[in-house]
Amino acid sequence: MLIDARSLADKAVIEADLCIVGSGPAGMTIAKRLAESGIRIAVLESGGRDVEPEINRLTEGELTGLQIEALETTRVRALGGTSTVWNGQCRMLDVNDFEHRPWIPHSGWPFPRKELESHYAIAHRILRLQPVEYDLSKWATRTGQRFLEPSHDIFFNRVSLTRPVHFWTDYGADLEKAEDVGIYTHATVLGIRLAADGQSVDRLDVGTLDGKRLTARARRYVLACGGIENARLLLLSDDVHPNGVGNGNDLVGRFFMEHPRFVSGVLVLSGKGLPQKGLYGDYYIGDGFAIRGDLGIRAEVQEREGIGNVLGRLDPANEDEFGPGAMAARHMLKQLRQGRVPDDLMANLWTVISEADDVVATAYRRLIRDRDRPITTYEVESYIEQVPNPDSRVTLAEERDAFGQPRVHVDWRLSEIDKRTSYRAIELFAQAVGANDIGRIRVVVKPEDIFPPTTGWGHHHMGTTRMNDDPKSGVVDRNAKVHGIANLFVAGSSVFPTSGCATPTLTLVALAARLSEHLDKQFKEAST
Amino acid sequence: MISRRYFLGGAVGLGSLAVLPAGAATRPRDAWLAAIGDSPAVRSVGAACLRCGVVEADRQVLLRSLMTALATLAPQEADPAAIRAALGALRRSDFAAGEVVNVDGWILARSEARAYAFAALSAPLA
Ligand SMILES: Cc1cc2nc3c(=O)[nH]c(=O)nc-3n(C[C@H](O)[C@H](O)[C@H](O)COP(=O)(O)OP(=O)(O)OC[C@H]3O[C@@H](n4cnc5c(N)ncnc54)[C@H](O)[C@@H]3O)c2cc1C
Repeated sequence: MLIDARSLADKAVIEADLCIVGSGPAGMTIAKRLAESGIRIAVLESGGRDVEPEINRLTEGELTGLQIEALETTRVRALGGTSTVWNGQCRMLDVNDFEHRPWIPHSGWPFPRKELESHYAIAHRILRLQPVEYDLSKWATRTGQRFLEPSHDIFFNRVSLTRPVHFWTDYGADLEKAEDVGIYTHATVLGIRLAADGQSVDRLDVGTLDGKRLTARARRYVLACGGIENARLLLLSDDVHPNGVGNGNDLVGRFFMEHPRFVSGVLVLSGKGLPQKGLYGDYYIGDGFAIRGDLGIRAEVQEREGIGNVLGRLDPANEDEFGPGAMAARHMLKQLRQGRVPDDLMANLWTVISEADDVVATAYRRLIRDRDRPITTYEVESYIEQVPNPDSRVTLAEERDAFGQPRVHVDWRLSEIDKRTSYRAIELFAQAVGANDIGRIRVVVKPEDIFPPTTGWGHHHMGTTRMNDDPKSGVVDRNAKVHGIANLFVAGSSVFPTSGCATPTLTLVALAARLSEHLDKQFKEAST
Repeated sequence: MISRRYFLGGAVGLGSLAVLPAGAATRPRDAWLAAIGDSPAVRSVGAACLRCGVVEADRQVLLRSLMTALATLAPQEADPAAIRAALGALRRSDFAAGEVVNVDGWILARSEARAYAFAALSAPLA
């Protein structure tokens, strides 16, 4: 049943067995998996069917450190959450992403990837990613396309599978019909209220923007508000524990991770080139399903080099686009798009003006580019694993939102290992393409310029309620239960202890499927 | 700065046997030059390698170090195709082992940088 919380009486109480906060991919997966289990479920969603600007503004916050996109444009408060705008690109984390890597502080998940395999299988089905084929050579055979074949042990080809499933459009109708599921829209959870002993959740405070205050009571609670809002809600709930819920060890909000990305090189192929619409780029298989090949650096090489995981993204390019003029023009454009006055406006302007020919040539070639002509030049974008860093963090800001609650403050910080990964990655890709006689790479960043002001992000918010069996090292345990709180769980990429270089949604959906199994078992055990 | 046009004709072109001038070599120096490729592109890349100071600026030293590295090649080998094949293998193993140099941002195998520099310092083939 779909209920607009604004239609309820002020001070009404919502009762359920399980209360899920948020209807994005994480929350919807749990609701969908448990819909037929006999458990009474209440989903509390801050937004409605469509994006409403005044609701989305609840997500606004302050940003310091390295720039990420304004929070209200990178997260969506509506049914289906951010899956209303996402690209749908999915890949599993690598086996080594789950392992403790001695050269990466705070690395290691509480379980190996094989423990998540069956849930990954479920997640592929939920995300409608079929066939599940991560071998680029198989796709090459299937599509008749060429690909870069590695013969030395530095790089390998990665594959992403893409289908932008919209969680509400695709699964909402079934949930609306489910007898035991109530989905409350315009219901913003304002705080988690603990029992007097501080060891379990007693209720949730819920508000609507038209002034109603409601209460939600359940036997168990799951926060699925997204990678930043999960931490914010725990920090906001400070009436019993002054540092917030689950924050006895000052870990909530720390270890915020994103996926930094920037153009680091240009690859010139030695052979006849690859087709313009090749496998390195979204290759449409049909029915809204696409695949994409990228380059990866082998786990042994990461270990030898003491770096994090990394992905090399290839995009058809033109040598002229890497002239100083074109680079400067792109830099300026990017900053302007981000609503910033370029930091080095004058220097860039002179470069653009003095290299006007090269800028014009780039624009011209883009216009006339023959779409089917084989290409010999790619720009290489490094897309790296940000390693866990306690100083990269989400805290509460002074400024308040429409409910009078402190907004969020995100201070995104990268570390020396991230710099090394970024620079060594492009050098290693250069070694790999040379060793395989694929071509040569020109590095277009200097080590001292990492991270350049053009550094982008993946819209991936991770790590702020990290998973670790030791309460001193994690906010949630291996079952995603908040340490020290008997009936509170967290779903979403905020529980990732490390981020790998894979897009996060497939993994967070797999974890949500795993959590629903755990909850189902707990409910069943409690009723016998 | 090395342009991509030169680069394609020089460094990357080294991988292709098709451009070999058949029977051009009469003495080892010529054979080496023919194997490396005696073209403006190769010379331009070689000059950049020298300018960046990533290789020895002496023709004899360059040739000697290449010959030493190519232990499988007979010292008097005069067949450009054989030299070219051996240089190719050396270049690939340099890359795999991280024996690379940075020339205006281009990452080159140390041995190929030496080869281009040798060409740049040599008089053109008759
Ligand atoms: C432009 C863009 C492209 C992306 N592309 C990809 C991609 O290709 N691949 C990929 O893996 N990921 C991608 N992502 C990221 C992806 O969208 C997220 O990983 C995913 O949506 C996270 O799911 P979630 O359920 O944890 O959070 P969300 O989808 O953010 O859902 C959280 C829900 O919680 C609700 N909520 C928040 N606070 C409260 C509260 N206090 N009370 C009640 N409800 C609340 C919100 O309204 C929202 O509906 C992209 C993101 C963007 C912005």
